Amino acid sequence: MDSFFKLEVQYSTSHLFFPKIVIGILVVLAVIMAVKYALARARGKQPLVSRNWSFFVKDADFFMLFGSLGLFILYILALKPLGFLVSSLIFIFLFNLLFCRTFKLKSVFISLIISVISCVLVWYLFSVVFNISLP
Amino acid sequence: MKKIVVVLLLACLTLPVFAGGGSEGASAPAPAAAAPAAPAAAAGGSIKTSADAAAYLKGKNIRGVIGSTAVTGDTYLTADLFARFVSEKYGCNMKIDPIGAGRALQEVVSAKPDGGTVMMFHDMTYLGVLFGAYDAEDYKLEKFLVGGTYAYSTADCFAASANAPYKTIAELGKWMKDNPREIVKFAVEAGGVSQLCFNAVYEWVNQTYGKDVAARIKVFVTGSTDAKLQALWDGNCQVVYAVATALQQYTKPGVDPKLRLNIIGISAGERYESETWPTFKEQGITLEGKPFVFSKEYYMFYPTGMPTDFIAAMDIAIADICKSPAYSDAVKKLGFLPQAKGSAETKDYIYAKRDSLTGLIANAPNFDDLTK
Amino acid sequence: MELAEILTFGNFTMGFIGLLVGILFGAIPGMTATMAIAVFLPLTYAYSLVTSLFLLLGMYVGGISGGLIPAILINIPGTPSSITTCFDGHPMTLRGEGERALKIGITSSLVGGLISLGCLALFTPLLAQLAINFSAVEKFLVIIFAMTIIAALSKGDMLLSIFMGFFGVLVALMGTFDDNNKLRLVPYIFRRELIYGFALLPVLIGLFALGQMFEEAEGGMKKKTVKDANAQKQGGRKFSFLDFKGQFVNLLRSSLLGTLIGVMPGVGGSAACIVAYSQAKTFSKTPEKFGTGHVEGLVASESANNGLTGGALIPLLSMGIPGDSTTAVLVGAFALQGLQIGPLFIQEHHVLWTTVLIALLFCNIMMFVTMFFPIKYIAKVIYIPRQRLYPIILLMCIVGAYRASNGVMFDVWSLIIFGLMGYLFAKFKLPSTPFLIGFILGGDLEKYFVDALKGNDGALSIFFTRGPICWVLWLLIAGSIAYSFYFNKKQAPLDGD
Repeated sequence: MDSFFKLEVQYSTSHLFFPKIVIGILVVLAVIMAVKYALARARGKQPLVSRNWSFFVKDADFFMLFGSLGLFILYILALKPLGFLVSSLIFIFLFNLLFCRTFKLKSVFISLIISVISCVLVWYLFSVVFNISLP
Repeated sequence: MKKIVVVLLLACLTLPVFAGGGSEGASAPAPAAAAPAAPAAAAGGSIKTSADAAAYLKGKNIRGVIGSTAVTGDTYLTADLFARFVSEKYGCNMKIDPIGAGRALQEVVSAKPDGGTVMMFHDMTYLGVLFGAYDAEDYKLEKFLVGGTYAYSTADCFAASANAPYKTIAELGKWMKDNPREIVKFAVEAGGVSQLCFNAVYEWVNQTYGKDVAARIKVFVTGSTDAKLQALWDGNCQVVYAVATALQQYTKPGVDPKLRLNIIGISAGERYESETWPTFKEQGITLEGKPFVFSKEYYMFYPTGMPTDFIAAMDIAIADICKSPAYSDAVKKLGFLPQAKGSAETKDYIYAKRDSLTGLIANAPNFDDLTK
Repeated sequence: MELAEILTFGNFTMGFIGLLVGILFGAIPGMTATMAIAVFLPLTYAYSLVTSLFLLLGMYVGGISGGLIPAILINIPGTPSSITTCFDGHPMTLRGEGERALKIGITSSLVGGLISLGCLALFTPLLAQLAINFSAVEKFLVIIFAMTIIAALSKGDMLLSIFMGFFGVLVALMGTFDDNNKLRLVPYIFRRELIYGFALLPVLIGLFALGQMFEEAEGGMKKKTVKDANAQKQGGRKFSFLDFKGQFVNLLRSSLLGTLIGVMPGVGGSAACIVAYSQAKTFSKTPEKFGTGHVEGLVASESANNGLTGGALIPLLSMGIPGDSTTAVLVGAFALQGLQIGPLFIQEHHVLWTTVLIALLFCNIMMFVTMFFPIKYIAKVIYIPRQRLYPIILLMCIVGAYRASNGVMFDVWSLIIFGLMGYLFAKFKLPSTPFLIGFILGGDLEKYFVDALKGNDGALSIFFTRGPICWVLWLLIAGSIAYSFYFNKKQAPLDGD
């Protein structure tokens, strides 16, 4: 009886001890949820997937969505070769352009100002004043 | 409207800049005594004197990654102190990033050898590999270059509760022999200096009092010093491994008896400052007839292919800085001692140190049995 | 005599500078008080310990308080311990009450800070005894108690919330296990990058900030500000101290809970606001209003996270054991001056002890003054169009993520991974908050569970037999769960059965 309530933690496998428990809980929860869901469906209360459901919102702006994702990845890739300040200047400017979706002179100008001021400020503050290394 | 907002936002952001700028201006590191511009012994290539080194290092950005994530630990404190002195005296800009042992090793084997990245770490660099915590193929000492050493510690110790019936490790061994029912648990960290010193104690008990006594030594694996202390106070272990400077205050009279500690053994060959804590050597902790002595040393490591000029310049810098009384005082204040060795000397030394410990580690008992 | 040494203009200036830097670090998503202190630590070498303490404690108070600004205004917690501030603070902003929410938050922070300071000044020996008696067993139960908020927060689908919570725990377990240095749950090709798993801050800001940004981008980021300008004038209520009417008990309870969790060494700071928030909900007369911009929730969260400050200093100053990750860094400040902090600290260094109390008092009051009055200008951030605001947030997130583990490029990549995850969670209507709470608490949950078993030869009974503190905690856990079930049934009769 006593051994039933014992959980020996063996050193060499102790890194798997707790993850196993958590995965066990997750599986149990998933099974219960699936059963509940199936029952509800059998009773015809809830359709499997609501008919109006679609992954993207109506009129999704794919250019901006994937544009921002792409820019972000490029930004991170550029950090090493170009250094923090240069790559940030370029990409924060590009992000501004992307999100505004306009090439009106005034808007582009504001984008430029924002990117220069924010990047230089952040760079100056952290790299020069606080003396910590940036990407 | 928009402009007003932008201006306001900027104002908010600028305010702390001035504040920070002010603090920076006021915070130049402690004035260091003028360093004797003595030329270092070993120097290669065109860099031979302090002036050459200063000219070479001036304006360089050096990132020192260290094998610990704590900004309060010994590794960080010593590395940061050294970085500050190097930056000040040689006009370079050295920053310490505590990114942890695994990541620091990754950096030092993969970084570009342009002098931009160095690793600063202690003996765990090779111990971690010997104990199998880090992959030998990727991270053994041969995979990168050994630089100089700039400090060492005489404070690594084992401590037990002040109520314990033993005051030294020698007494602990005898007490365990006399009390065949008692089990003693040691709180150690796996894969580092603490495991090594534990192995030594275990081996000594094994050789002196035999297997049966040694079999009653167990291990409670845990991380930081405060985790170990709490394990001690909880009764989960009886002996902890730590840096004695951090425990000094716990040993004094007037401390709550529940918390009070005794330092039962210093692994270094010499005593710590003016304290009376006994060293392993004094207690006669020997392995195969030889006294066990281990002090933790702090080294620089470079990626393979590092320019010889950089290595030579850094060697000179280490020699100069360790000679300066300001550095020496500062390092002692932290509880460590300065030690200057050039890269060539250090390389031979650390390889020999590693080889001398390989046997002890290979014969070490399995943690699976020790934690049962 | 000793007061003359402490009460100098220079010291107060340093305290103020520290406070401003702390607020800045706290307000930038991805940067924390811990980071601020770590960055400034080496600089304190040149000062006396008294002056350094003013600077560093200023950062501590400022950093914890500054986190509420982005949490309330743009729904991005500035620090992990302001996560629950988002729940009710941001809905208030959406209602046009951003300024009011900020002022309530700041005032609660002040009260929390002062109450915990009172505990530090008066009850340190008593609370230190309590801290010693907290073993891994009790800590494990406290973490479980904090996790019951997942049930309390679920709106309708409790099973799903719990599932997401444990999923968060699982993700938190990725990486190397400290005990035996072995890697688990990590695909072989990522063994280098994920050697320490994912860092908390990139996950936090990825889920909140980037997930939100991707959603907005999908919607085309129409020309609108975070809140239409009109609401402020029409619907929004103005702040008045009468907002605190009826909050007295809540303030006191949350501040004390924050302090108590601070006292427990090794239980993370974010647990403080989580526990306080869920208890405020449990004891509330109007629990259904939580999460919709309810003052009570905001008060609980902010008073608790500042309550932490005094609490976390108690075990540090009385035993040398830091109460949270920020105070752990403070140990370094003492070490740099060649002073080891331990059980005799208060007796042997009376001047420093007095300094800590005065500096904390000063910083808390200054925090209130410097944040309360200019806040109406800062609140204008919500008028900045999103397409201009997001790039700046992004920039700060990158810096913050990179610094999360002191300069690791992979953390910037995890930002994008969790940004996408946050986006997908929203798409599939999976709650991301339970995931985050599971992630935050997961590491500690494992550590204390394993430690408790290791110390007791694996006997599970230890969780029940260790002593009265255990029983109280079990009662609290059971009460919290039962209440959530009851409340959940009552609130969501439409959902399934």
